[in-house]
Amino acid sequence: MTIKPLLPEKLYHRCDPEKFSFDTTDELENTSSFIGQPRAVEAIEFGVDIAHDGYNVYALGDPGTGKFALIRELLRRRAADESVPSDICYVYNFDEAHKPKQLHVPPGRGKDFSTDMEKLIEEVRNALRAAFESEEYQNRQQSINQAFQEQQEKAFAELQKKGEKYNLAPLRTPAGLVFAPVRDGEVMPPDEFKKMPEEERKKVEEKAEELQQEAMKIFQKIPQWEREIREKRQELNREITGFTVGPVIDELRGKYEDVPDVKSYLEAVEKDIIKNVRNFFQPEGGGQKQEDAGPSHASGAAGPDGRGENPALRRYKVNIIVDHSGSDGAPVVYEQNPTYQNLVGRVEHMAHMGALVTDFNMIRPGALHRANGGYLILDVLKLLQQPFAWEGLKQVLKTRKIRIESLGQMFGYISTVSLEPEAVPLHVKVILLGSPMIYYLIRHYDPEFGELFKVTADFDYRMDRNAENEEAYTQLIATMARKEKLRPFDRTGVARLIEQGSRMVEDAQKLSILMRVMNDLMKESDYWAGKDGSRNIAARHVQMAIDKSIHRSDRIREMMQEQIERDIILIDSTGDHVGQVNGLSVIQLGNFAFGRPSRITARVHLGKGNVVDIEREVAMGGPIHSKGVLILAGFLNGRFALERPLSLSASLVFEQSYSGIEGDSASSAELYALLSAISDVPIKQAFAVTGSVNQYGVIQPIGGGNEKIEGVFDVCRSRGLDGGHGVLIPAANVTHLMLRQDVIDAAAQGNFHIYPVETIDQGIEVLTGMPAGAPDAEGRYPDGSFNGLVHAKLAEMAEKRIAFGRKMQESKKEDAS
Amino acid sequence: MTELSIRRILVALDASSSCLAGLKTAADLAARLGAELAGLFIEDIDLLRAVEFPFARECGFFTPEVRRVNTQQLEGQMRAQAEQMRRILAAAAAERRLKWSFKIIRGSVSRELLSAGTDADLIIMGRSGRSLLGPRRLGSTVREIIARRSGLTLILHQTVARPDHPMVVYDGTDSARKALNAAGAFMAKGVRDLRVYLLADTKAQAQQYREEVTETLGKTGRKPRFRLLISSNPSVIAHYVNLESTGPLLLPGERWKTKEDELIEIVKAIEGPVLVVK
Repeated sequence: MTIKPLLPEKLYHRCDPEKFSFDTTDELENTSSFIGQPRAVEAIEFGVDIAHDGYNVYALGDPGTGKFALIRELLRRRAADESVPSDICYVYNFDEAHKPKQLHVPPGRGKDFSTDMEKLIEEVRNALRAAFESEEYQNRQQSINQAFQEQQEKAFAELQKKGEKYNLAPLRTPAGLVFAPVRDGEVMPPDEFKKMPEEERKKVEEKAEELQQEAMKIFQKIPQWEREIREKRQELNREITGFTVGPVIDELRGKYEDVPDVKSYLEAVEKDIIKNVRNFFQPEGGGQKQEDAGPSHASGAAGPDGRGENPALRRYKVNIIVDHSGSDGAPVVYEQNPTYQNLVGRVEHMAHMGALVTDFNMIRPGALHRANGGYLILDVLKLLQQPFAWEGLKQVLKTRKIRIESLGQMFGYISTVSLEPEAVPLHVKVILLGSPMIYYLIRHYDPEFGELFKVTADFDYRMDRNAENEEAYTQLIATMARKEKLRPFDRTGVARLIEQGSRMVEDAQKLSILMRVMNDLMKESDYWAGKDGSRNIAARHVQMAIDKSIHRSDRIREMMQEQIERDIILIDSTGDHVGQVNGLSVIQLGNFAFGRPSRITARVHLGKGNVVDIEREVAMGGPIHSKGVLILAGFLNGRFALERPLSLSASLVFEQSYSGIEGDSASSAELYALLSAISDVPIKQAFAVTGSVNQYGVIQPIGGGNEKIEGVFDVCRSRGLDGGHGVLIPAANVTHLMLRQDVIDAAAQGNFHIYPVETIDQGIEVLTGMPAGAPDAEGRYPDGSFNGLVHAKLAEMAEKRIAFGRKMQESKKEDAS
Repeated sequence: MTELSIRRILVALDASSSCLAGLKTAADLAARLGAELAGLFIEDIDLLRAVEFPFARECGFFTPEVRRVNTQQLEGQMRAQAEQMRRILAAAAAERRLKWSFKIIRGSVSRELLSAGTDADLIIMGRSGRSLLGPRRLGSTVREIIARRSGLTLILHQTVARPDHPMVVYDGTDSARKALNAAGAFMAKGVRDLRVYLLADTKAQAQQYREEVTETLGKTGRKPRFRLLISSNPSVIAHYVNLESTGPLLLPGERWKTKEDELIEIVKAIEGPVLVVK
């Protein structure tokens, strides 16, 4: 036998605890460097650094690769050195009430400004109240009113006087005025009037008509007088208000001289107060009134949302939607619930008298507002799960403006009047976190994606296992343990974690950087150390955590093992059989995977050279599996049918398989079974086989090697190891081996063997115990060799097939004659 | 001292804004005193006559031209006004749970009011009614009532809404004593101080009046705050009273029994409500 089983040290890449200079991780400093992701870090730094539109970042990587933690930390460090963006406020738009205006105030001054405005309005209210209650104002208003009254009274007095001259008196009717002749202070009875001489009557009538016309002229002048009086009152109010408000606002104007937005807003406020001074004298809950009449007294205690507040004064409030008063640098925002409204903001409504009402004070910010001037991190899966959120985000990134619109407005379903807050200019870098699958799907289906997310940060899930990385890994373990308030790991514990890091990625030369999984393992190890009463976490605690974790998940595995032990699932682990081999498969259950042996059998018969994959025939075999089987035909034809066609047909099957089979890792096992069936040479059942094969008979590496080996080991051990059991694995998989300690121990004791196989011929020799045999120059295999037997058997079958063919032709001829 | 009892308050309703203020005052007073509220709407016979003249035309405030108006139309308008007044009166009474009545009479306004007022302890009326000459002048009906009515007549001014801080002019006459007795009815709850203007010709007389008032009010627990008027000249009285922004002023009518014009002058000059006591 030319192939030797692997030595125990090849079965596991041990991490020697003695190489560490510390006793426990408490002695190690915290690390702040990012390990294992240089490519992703470089991409993110590029993405956030480049100042052009569309250079947002999509960080793709498997869950647990630490994308979020790394990106947040990286951005925080960067943001700390960047300037704090302005506070953003919404204020009333005095020109178009339904389009609130935005104000940008230096960071931290938004709150001050809001308080200053509240104080200003309170001061203005007090000052106005004092002004309008002053004797001077009252007198001036009184004199205006009196002038109007006198004007009116004078006109009517003259009219009355004129009437008296002709004994005509004006009398008020419910709707106007009539003139009637009077005598002794009373209206003359009409009968007496009729008795008057006609000439006199006519004169009275003429005079009455004259007076009526004059009265009409007075009546027609009254609206004009009223208008004039109104204007005079307004002018007085404006004068008093302007004089009162100006100095109060000037003080604020001086304070915010350096903020142009606020300066222009204060101008507008002053004009509006002068124009609508009556608002300051409205009762609580009263509506806004026109300016024409003079102010009247009322209380105006303020309260939120229009309750107990003078609603007309809400217009002077300042709605701070982004307040950076406590910020030290640019914002880094992670929105956990990226709904459309949580991203772009919303306008809230309040039920009032059965209707929904709103104003600029009810504008609420979205994550984009809060992140403006900095960075926004979003989970792409959550984003895509929220209706319209992706479209909303794209819209904002395309227009570079945050426009707060309801979904109804955005899609034009609602046309009722609502608020249209002024759009806020966007200066934000968006970093999406997501899996590679989502990335490739969006990239494929959404043409805009590439325009908006030009930078891809690809997170690896593993890194090289070398001395430098092991040291970094150790420091990371120390940092994480401290952060999570775990017991310190001693050097054996750290070593075991590193070894498990390799096992997690199924590669002895690599280390897993799925830190979430590692973090969980550390916490569980800490738990078991606690149970053990240990102050430090040692290798045994880590092992306990691993074992217990497996135990919690391996009910199905145990059940299958039991079925094998009870010969319900038929697996031979001793003896020899023709056309039968133990293949290996891996079953993945969530985050737990285990291997199990499966019996693969092959039968041959005369035929046209095709290999029937029974799994495929019944649609239980996946395409890769079917491909593997077809490769077998290629191998057989290439090696044995150069001179004559194959005259056999074969059928291959995974026995007792009740679910689908995928993958080509069993193709070498299938080939062994097939060759055994052809050659009639039995295969040792103490072995199990894994590995795919190509058309030249070269064994290729497969995945899940550790689980497969452990799976067959468990079966063999339960039946009793006799030193003959073993597994054939692809030689290329040796570097991936990180086997369980019990497997390693059995191998060391010579009870279990793992053969690294490079070719089918090597495998045949192990499985049959006979030489495979190499072809000579003419392509003939030595007699007595395995391949010789195969060759001979195929030649025999070809002869038989030719003979059978002749016989059939002769019988056809006989039938014809 | 026995405080004057007011059991029935008559309010003259002519659909003017001052009469509405009067109605509210009357209703509040009636509620406080437990009195009956009687509303009176008088269809002015002079007005009905006036539209019978063949040349009679109505000049409207909001119409571009004069228009012919006949008796039926005017009656219709008056009925509408009366109905409106009735509704307002009913609502005010219901709000305060008052006993109330409403009457429509056709006739001369002042005569009918005087006639109806004989059954009432108090008549409340607006200062100028629907006069075009403004509130500063006294309407003709008010003048007539002041001059001819015996009893209490409250004339309201538009500017004072709540006549519940009375002041009394005391001149030793029976009507002055009656005024003193009536003052309690108009005082707001909890008010004890009562401004009393002593109208005396001599210091001794003034002292005598002071003692009389003190004695009379002492029984009621009210506290007089005296001010001496040295002249009964209307402008002098009005000047001092107008310095106070309260009301009503209870004016004893007996002193001006033969000088009604002077009494009318005083009422006219006073800017607050006046209660003429006869």
